[in-house]
Amino acid sequence: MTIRMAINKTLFRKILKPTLLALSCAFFLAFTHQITKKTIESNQRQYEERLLREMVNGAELEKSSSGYSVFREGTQIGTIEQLTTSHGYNGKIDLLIALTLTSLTGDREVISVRVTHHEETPGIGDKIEPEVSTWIHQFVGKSAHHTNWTLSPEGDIDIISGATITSRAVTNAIAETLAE
Amino acid sequence: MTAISLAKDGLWKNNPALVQLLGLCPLLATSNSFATSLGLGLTTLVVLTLSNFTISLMRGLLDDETRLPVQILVIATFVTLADLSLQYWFFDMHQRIGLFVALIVTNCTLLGRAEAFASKNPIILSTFDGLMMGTGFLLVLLLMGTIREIAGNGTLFANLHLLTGTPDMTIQIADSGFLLVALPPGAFLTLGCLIAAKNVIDGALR
Repeated sequence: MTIRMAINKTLFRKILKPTLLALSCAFFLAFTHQITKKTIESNQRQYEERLLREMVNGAELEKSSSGYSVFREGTQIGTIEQLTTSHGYNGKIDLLIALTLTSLTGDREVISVRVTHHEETPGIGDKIEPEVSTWIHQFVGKSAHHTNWTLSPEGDIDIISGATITSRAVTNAIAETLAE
Repeated sequence: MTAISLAKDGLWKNNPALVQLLGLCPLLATSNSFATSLGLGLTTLVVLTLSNFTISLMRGLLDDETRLPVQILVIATFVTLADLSLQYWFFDMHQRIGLFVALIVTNCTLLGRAEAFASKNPIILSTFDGLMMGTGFLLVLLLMGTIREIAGNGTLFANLHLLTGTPDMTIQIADSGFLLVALPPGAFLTLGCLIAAKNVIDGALR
């Protein structure tokens, strides 16, 4: 009986110590999380807003059901939409695309495009990032009706050499959104 | 055990990256530019020093059976703290190295130093050991970042302004680089060359 009690006692202490430590760690982290939460959230918002503002040259933005509406001097001039393609070379490619409103003839133009997330090959496929290459800027001003959305030399869209699959994935995603 | 021998161990003789070959995952993944190397190296240095300090502080308190999980708990707590601090002060940098910050938990340098040194030695020595091992890791990471960024991309200090808050200080050395060095295999090749170089120097010294 005494032996069993002694075992139970040491076992209890061995369990109790890590449990208390884990609880104090959890408390400490929860406390830090509470303190930093507001600033981190506002950092995140600022980061996203800066990206969006860059895309539309500082026009006003308003959140809408499918993304953002873009306003200049009070009238809506376009929209920003989020799209994802899984036809890239590796993983998904997330894009933000700013488009003008549909004109009377049913045409839409690209204002700008940004890649927000991708896992394409560094040094080859990452030329879709504006920080790495100017490739993504060629879509500015391209429209649903007046652009041949196949890759060069047949079409109007330049290919990143060595990254045909990545180029095609991004191009097709933009073309499909324009055609909608 | 003196401070000088600890410093020698951490920086050269028993360098975590070149000799112990611990923490290769973050080392290989973030060493493709100087800025990401500096970001992750400094974070690792801080976490390693703090975790060594704390584990040395509690060394009399722990039982053999529960020592390892408690050490991991302490390390994980500091890594989460570091992650939150990065998001708090250096959000743009966190967007680039955030994925690897969480992986510092699995960096065996930290558990290795906790178990092999901090759980058996007094607080000041353990903290100093963490500082030296962390510095050794940081220096190798910076060297690899410099080599791989220059050879792989032809630039140096790209994106460093995200950490320092100053204007862009990218130095364009060449128009493009040798792609292989920037790709993951290039990390292994660079590390291999560095280890070989260290062995040559050691041989020459002996």
